Amino acid sequence: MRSGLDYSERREFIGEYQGYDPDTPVEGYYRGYLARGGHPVGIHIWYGAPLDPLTGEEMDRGWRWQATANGALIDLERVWPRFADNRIDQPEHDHLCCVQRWAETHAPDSPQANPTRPIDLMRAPVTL
Amino acid sequence: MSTAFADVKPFPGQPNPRAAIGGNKPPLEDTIVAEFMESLAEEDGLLARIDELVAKGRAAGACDSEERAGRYGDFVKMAGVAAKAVEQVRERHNRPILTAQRALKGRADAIVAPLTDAVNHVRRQLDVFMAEQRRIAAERQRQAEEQARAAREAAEAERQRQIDEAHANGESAFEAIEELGLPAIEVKQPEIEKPAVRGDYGSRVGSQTVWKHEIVSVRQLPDAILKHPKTVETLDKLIAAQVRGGAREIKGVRIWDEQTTIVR
Repeated sequence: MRSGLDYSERREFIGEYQGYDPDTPVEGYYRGYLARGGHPVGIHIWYGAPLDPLTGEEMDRGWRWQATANGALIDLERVWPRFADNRIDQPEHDHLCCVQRWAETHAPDSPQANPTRPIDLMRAPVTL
Repeated sequence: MSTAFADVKPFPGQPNPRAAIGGNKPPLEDTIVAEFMESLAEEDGLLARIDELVAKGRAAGACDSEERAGRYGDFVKMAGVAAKAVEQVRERHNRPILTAQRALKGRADAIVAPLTDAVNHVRRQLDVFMAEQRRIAAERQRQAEEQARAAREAAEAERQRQIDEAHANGESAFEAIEELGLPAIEVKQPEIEKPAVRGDYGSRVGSQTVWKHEIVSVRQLPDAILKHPKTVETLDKLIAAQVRGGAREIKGVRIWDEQTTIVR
């Protein structure tokens, strides 16, 4: 039987909105993943002057919301609000960046050096 | 097959099953396991990976930090993936055998099913006949018991008459019994006859007493049944299903929670 409600009638929303606003990120550090089943990377989101993609210096341009994944610039839409729940502190973020830098030099085939690839559990190094 | 020489034993009639093409193959269980091991060896580094996981797992020490706990969790995941890979190879080899088993059973069942129907039909006829035989036997038994009861009463009456005669002659009952040598009243009990039929090929068709039961009230059952290990096992399963479903209070059951480690 059809409900007697008139759906065109506007009503007051009772309660609070849960979740994050996709247009208003929250500055901070987060743990994110660049591939499903991949190694975690450190995400940094902030509002500031854009960085020069070659030198990394701040440019004299309009401030905007920006994000990096292990130090590399990444589109904000890829990481916010997707990883908004995985907040971490700066030391943890710096550690994730260092791990990838070290792995690129010393273990180029390891999952840590390739966060955009899913981890192959049959070939990943066993570290106990 | 006769031979030209009378003292030579005839050639054996049963053919040797191994004297055929492929008769020197090893048994199926050996063949299938050998093929399975070959397939495992072909999987890139699977056996070496398992050896590595086993060695490192056995050497693992105490878990003393979150980072180590994370690594241990990763190890559990890696071991699960390796075990799954072995299982996939096993399934590849097992599937054709399973399919063949099912086809064989299906074919055999298809052959036996009409036979089972025919046997059931004959059994139904037999049941009707045997029920009629039991009814006739019961009727005969009833008549025999009637006759026995009548004979007993007649004998008792005669005995009493003789005792009364002795009384009339002035003798006591005991003296009369001793003098007359009256025998104890014995009447042959009629034997319970069970109908039985024999076939020409040795089959015997008879009746068998089968006791059946129905539980009228579970609460009145004795402890020997209610506390039997099988009963408790069944109750455990039912209660576990209810507790998993969210029940937290069940009369006669203590429910509590424990923390266990899971790795996802």
